[in-house]
Amino acid sequence: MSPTFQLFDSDMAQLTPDVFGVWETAPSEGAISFAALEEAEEVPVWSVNLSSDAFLAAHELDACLAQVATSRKALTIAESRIDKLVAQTRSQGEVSFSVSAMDLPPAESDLLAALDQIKGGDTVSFGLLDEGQAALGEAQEKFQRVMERVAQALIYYALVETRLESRLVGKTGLTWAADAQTLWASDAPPEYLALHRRTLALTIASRNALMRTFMLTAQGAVKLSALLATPGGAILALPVAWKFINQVMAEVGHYLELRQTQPQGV
Amino acid sequence: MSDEKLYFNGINGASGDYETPPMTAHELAQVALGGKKESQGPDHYAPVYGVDKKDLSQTGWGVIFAQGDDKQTEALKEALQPLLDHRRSQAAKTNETFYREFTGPQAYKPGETKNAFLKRHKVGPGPADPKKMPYYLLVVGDPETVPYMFQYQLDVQYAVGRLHFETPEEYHQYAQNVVLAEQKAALARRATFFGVSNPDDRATQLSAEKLIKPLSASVANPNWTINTLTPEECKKARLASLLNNAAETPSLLFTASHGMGFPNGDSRQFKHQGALLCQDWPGPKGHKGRIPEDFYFSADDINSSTNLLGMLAFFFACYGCGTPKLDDYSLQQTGERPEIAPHAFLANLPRKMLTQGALAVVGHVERAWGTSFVWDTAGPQLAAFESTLKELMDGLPIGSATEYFNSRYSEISTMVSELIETGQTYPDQLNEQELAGMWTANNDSRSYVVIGDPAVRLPFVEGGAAPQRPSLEAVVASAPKAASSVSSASFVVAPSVAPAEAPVDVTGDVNYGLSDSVKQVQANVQDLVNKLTETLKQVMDDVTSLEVRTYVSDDLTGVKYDYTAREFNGAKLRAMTRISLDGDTLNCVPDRGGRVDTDLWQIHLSMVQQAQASRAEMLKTAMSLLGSLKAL
Repeated sequence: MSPTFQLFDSDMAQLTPDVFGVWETAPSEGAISFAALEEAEEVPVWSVNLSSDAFLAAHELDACLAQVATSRKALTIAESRIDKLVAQTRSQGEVSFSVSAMDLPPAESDLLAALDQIKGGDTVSFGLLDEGQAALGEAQEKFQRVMERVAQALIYYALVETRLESRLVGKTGLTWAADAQTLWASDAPPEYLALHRRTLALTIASRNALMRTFMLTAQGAVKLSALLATPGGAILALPVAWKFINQVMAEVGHYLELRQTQPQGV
Repeated sequence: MSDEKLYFNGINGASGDYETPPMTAHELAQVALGGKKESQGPDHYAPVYGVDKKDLSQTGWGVIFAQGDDKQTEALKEALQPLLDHRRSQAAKTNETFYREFTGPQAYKPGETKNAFLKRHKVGPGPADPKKMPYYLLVVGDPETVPYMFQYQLDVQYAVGRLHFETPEEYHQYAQNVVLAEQKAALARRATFFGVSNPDDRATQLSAEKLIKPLSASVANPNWTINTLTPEECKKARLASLLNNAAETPSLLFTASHGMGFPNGDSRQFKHQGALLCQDWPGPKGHKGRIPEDFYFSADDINSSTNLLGMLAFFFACYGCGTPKLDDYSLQQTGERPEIAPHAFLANLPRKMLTQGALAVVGHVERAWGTSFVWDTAGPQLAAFESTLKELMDGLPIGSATEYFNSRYSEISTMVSELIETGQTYPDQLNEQELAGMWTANNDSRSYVVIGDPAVRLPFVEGGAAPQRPSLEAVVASAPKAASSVSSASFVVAPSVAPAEAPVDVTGDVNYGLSDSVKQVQANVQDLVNKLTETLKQVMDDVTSLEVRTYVSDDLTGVKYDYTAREFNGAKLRAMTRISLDGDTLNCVPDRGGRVDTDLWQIHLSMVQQAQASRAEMLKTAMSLLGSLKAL
């Protein structure tokens, strides 16, 4: 059977089809209310369903862990590309978003175009003014919704489940700060329990990577604000930086996919 | 052997307890006896014969950067350019070599000792000779890159200060402030002494009685207005008024209080460690648990419109100027030096004061000790404090005025060496009380540092002229105007802002050509950033212990998870571990047939280890995220 890695969270499901190319997002199975809170809120459920062959299941989990690790590396690449773009743009002698003067990858071109829209300058890099503004507005709205969701997710719990061919073997209630309450099946062999620990590691790594994405988005926005030279420019650059980072991560993911599908050797 | 306890300065902001519990002389002596001998210091702490310490063209002035990132060094130099140009014009007036910039291969090498650094520059021990090495030396860099120990040791013979800010704008602001103060400020000769005496707290009662009171009396001078506040007046609101209200701001401020300490990695540690605990704290009996911000004065309490131009301050408080990464006191006792902070750092309050116009702040790194000013049965010993303040009041630069602490450090260091040698050779002759006191005094006197340019001094009004405290010129980073091969952040000086003026509202009347829709987005996203920041802070504040529980059930489908109580209903709780921030650990171990169920215990332990590693990683990321959000 094919393994499945799912994040049951209705908001995230509307915002993105997957998290780091590992977790397929899906709507929650039902709202859960907290006695301590004024409104019913969802708790994200990170659920994996693996092969009952423990060795194969471990391999599947390791592959996903590697993919999340790759996403972290992609974040570093995105950061350095922002640095390079800022340096390159400034070395033009004056702040200019004239893309024709530079040979840039699509993500960088889109980013400069978005900054241009924000600056409201004369130079329009791509397409019609209306199209540029619409794209900017969409990025901003999406970023706001993701940010709201992350802000909420930080104070709530997550539930992590490991199933082997649909049989539940382990479940953990996890706080953001890693307090954990774990439930084991009393007859589960040790290798199954080890699998659930790997699932936990994958979930924690994914949440951490999500937080790092925000961190680099904020840092990227501060750097990009130097190109805007506008009060509050860093805030305005946040959605733009977010979109850029996600584009770079998708590029890196696609590149690795291609590498994996290429025939090896002669 | 005396059972009298020695009390140490410093309050833990998370627990509300003393940072260092009181201990007897015997206990402290045991710590010292394991210590290494301190090397003997020289007797003379000044430049060579004939040099006027007020004249930089005679003393020389230098700035020391760290090797590593040349681009960053260039950016820092650019940010500090106004100060560097100003000092060059003073120090190199008659001899160009009296102005030095230690950059590139000449800069401080990672891990270098003071001796190695000086030797590399062809300088050996002895009085500072400006022909070889300037007397005034400004270290630029954080205390992880250029360690505190380097600063302490270099400061023994030279007049050393340090700068480290988070942004180039802050460096530029400070550089600008110093030049403005030296060229245009003329302050009234007014000093304020702020001495807290918290109820049932021996440390601050001692400092109020034996330091503040006699010290303020001893520096009385007909040319100066000395304002000594009573302890009851030394509340946070009063300190806020002294600093934020230009009419009250003195040119010289001396405080004595506890300094706030927080557990390693606490969310408030970088922000508030070293903050001054005011009279608002009702003492150890009047308040238990976490110390609220209402009780202490931190960088957050300085307004962005505050003008401290020309001021010098001296804080007697634990961590008042900084915190090292490793505990300075545990090595001898336990063989280990536990981490007290994720990394060494400068305190935020003095740095904030510097960006708001203060020229320098003298204070303590690590914990401060009462032996600074009370010497056993000899009673109050204020000579170092008194001499330093008098020199400042006479207009001497702060780096040279604090030489009295350096010479005290060296003197005590030789006495500690002698006692340790005696203790090791003739154990029955060892006077533990004397060793304990000497050891703490040595540690204490070593750790006074100057944050700021060591060559700054109070800019007094002369003759019958009216005092002047010019408005600060705010610094705004702008895009570069011309291509340059160097990192080309240039700094635009905004129009002067009078102290009472409110900060500019970027969404208000200032027209930068932003459309209404963009402004709305900006406001929405700013709200979200603020909310996320507060959420992060709240979550991190609530992280006081780590708890891991292991449940077992024969039928998992029948088990429900209660999110509020954080437990599984319908399953059996078999093991639990709770680890508090202070390291206290509670373990509930599973049993099977009257014996420990070792298999399940091993599984549980692996979960605990995973949780510990995860928490550390998440906290690290969260702190970085918080820092990034605050930079927006």
